Amino acid sequence: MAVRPQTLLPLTTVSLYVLLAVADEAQHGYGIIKDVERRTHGLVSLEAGTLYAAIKRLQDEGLLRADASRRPKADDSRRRYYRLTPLGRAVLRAECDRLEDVLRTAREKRVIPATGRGSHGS
Amino acid sequence: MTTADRRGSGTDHEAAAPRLSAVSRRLFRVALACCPRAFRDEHAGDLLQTLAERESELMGALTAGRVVRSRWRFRARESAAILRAAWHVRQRRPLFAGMPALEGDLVMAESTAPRASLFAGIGGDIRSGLRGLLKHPGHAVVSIATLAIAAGAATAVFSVLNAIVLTPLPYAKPEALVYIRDASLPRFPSFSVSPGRFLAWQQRTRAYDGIAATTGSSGNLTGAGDPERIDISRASANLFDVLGVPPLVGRGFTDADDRPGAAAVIILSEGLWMSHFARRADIIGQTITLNERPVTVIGVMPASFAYPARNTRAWVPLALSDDERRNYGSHFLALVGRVKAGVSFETARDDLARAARELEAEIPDGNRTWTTLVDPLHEFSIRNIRSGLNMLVAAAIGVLLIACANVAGLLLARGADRQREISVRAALGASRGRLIRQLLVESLTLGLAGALCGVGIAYLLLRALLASRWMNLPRITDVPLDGSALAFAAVLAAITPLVFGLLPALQLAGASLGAALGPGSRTGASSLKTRTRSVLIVGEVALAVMLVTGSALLLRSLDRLLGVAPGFQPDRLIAVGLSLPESRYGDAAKKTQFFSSVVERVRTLPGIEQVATTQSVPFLGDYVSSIDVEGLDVDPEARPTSNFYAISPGYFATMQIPVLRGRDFTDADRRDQPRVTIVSRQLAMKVFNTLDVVGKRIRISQGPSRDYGEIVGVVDDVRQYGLEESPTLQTYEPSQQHAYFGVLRLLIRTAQPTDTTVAAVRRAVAELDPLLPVSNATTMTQAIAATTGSRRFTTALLGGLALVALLLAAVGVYGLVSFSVGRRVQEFGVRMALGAEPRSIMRLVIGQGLRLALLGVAIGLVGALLTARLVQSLLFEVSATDPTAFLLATTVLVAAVIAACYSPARRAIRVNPVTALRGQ
Repeated sequence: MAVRPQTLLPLTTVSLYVLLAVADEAQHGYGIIKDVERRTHGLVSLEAGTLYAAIKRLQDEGLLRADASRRPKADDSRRRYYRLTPLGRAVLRAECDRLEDVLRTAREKRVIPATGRGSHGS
Repeated sequence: MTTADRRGSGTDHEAAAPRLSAVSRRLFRVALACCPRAFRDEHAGDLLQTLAERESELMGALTAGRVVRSRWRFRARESAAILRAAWHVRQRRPLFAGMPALEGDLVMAESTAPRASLFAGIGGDIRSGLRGLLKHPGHAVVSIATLAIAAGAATAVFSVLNAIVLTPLPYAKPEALVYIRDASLPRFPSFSVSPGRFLAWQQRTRAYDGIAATTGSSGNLTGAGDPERIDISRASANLFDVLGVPPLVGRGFTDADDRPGAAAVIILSEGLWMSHFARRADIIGQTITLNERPVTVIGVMPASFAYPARNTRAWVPLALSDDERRNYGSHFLALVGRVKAGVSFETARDDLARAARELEAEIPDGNRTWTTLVDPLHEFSIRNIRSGLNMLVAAAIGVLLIACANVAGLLLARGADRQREISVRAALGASRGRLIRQLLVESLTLGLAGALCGVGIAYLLLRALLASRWMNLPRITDVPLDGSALAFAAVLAAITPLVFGLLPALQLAGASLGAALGPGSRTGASSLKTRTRSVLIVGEVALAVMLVTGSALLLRSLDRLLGVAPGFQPDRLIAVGLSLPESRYGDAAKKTQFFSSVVERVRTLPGIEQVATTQSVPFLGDYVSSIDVEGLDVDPEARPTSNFYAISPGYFATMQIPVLRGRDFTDADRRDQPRVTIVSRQLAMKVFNTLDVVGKRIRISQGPSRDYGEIVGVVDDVRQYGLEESPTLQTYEPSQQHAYFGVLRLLIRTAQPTDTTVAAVRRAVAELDPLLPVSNATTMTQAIAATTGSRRFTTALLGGLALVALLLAAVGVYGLVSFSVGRRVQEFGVRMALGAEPRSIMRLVIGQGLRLALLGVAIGLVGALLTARLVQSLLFEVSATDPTAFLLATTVLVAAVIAACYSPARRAIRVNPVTALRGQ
């Protein structure tokens, strides 16, 4: 099933943050919420219901999958870890490219200073 | 970084997973129940785990004082998110990235929604409805509280009704079960069945699969903890088959068990099995000690099986003796029959009536004048409370209607303020149907919130009712707030908004647009609305009057009833049961000896004022015997009957029953002395037409002696069966002359607390016989209260409902009058400026409320008169048209209305004419 990543754009804020949170390693739900909180300095605080509705949708569209191998024995058996699918990674990249374009336009029109601020990452 | 942040890294989490608090878990599960199943199956566990970690993080970060509020905020936020997720997952819509555009969505929803779809844009309606409610929190809180109180009361009443009336009896095909009684009019309108007749019905009827008999008994259980007296039922072998309930373990009785001389067997209740035998699986086949004889346990009945009574702890075979099998005159069996499949109830009843006629023709002795009564078992079991419950249901519906009228009034009042908003929407192209739908959705939101809070109120109400121990009702050990009660509340949530919301919605949506859009439009359609509200208020007051009248009637009945003297002094009087096993006390002399030692010993205990024994105590148990008068030859079937008491000397002094003529018994009235009798006032008057009957001789058909006894005294009447029952004829004889009774009650009048006394009596008895249990300790006050329990229950519940009705009606009147004062500020200003006295303005305002109230009262009184017939069966020595009750209800209502008008009236006279006129 070949889906062109561009057809799924733009991503909603929640979807974007969720995909970003699992971009480097598999995370469980609580981990995602904390990751988003940390990266947005607490500005975006996802409710669990919102998160799982997003996860469900992202799974349905094939951007995210539950990772069966990442389930430590001592951990609660109900817990699931989620990671990006190749399609998910492609969509995330396409979205980031799109945002990059948006930022470039904004700089050209002097909406924001020409030297963009770095990311807030720790 | 907090601990939570460390956990949040997702890779180093190895500690035990945190758990959600019970309340949160329940709340989130309810919210999750709204999600599609597939979503739940896949994500619910994970989601709950995440929530648990969020909660534990929140709790860890908080100081103690803020925990409760923050936790509830957390719960509310997360539940809402789950509900939102449910909505979005079902819609398969993209997620909202952030907050929805609150102000803009209204017009957008209306212009983009396809008109064809009924539900299109309903999300917008809900959102704008919620917004509207939040904008006027006072209005929302009052509406929801009103609905919650009414829905709570209705749900609680429904739960009781459901548990008692609607839930089928816990037997197989319970609708085929009938309860069979004997009757011989006019003396015995309803009576137990004699064993001879029971066997005859078994043989002579054709419409029944089986007829089973039980009779109450009790036994001393020893060898399993302290000796204990337990209630046992003697049951015919087919009882469990007739009721269609197999034992939980082991087997039921066989015909071989049900014969005199058969090996002694017993079937335990699950409760007894649990409390005394620790649910041991090997109990079947074991021998336990009952009445100091070994009996073999052959089965255990499940806890749901409570026939004939809830306190039945075990069953033994009926095992009728040969004498009993031929006995038609001694009525002591309760009969339950199962009608054959396909046979109608009427056919079954006629079948039994035919059998009774046949038996009467064949064996007239003991059967002449006797007929049978057949009732569906379920109907029989609720016969005493049905009318009370019906009344409560009617009252709950009344309260619900009043609440709806109130909320409708509030919506109308608010509608006046919303006229502009609605007109704007109409101008933007919202159709009339669309507007009505939005208003109804708002009402639905109110109804839902009201029903939800109502469930909480119902839960608290039921808890309080159960704790009050008024519920001396069948099958009420537990009124669960179960699925059907919740379903009922949900139906209320769906129906009440239609009742209270439709009228305002139609009126608002239909109001003329032009009038509403002008700046001075506040007074636009309000006169029409005020009229509608007035009609609502009149209806409310009328309903409240009916409820208050009914409640006043019941209160007066209860008052009358509690004022009835039982014929003895119940204060500080305790009854305890003693039962001597035949194995060791078979000899009459031994029994007499033992009972008099107990009396002697108990008499010396501290604080004991009087002690006596009797085999039967008013309110606690009865013996019925027929009477022969010497020299008077009457038809044996027409002989008078009396309650019989075998008493020790000092009984009348202990009970404080006045001796009117002659003397009390003394220790000299022994077995070897001539038979002596004491009779009650009624008996003397009915049989001899005078109180001076000392010296006359009567014979009581009780005990082996066929001698006539000489009447040595006349005592005052006591109520044997309850305060509502008129006194029966009563006869007393010395217990020494009826020493065959091995089961007696000790009556003790004491200055000590009940528990102390019972404990002291227990010790005193144990010193005489350590194997003998002391049972059924009860105060006579309790015994009397038990007979008035269901009446107190009905009265209290109806009183509560009437009070709620009164309050709601008063709130309704207050709302309307205060609304109309607000509208008439300018008018009052002008009046004041023209020199009107404050008093005349107050009169004007109160008069407005009072006129409505009086109209409502008049309608309500007519309604109460029309429904008097329904109430009559619940009343005791009070007429259903009792003027006092009607007057009381009128006064209370009028007073409440005046009180409700007072504060708006005060506001009216405080109007400053200058300010009021400036607005003109």
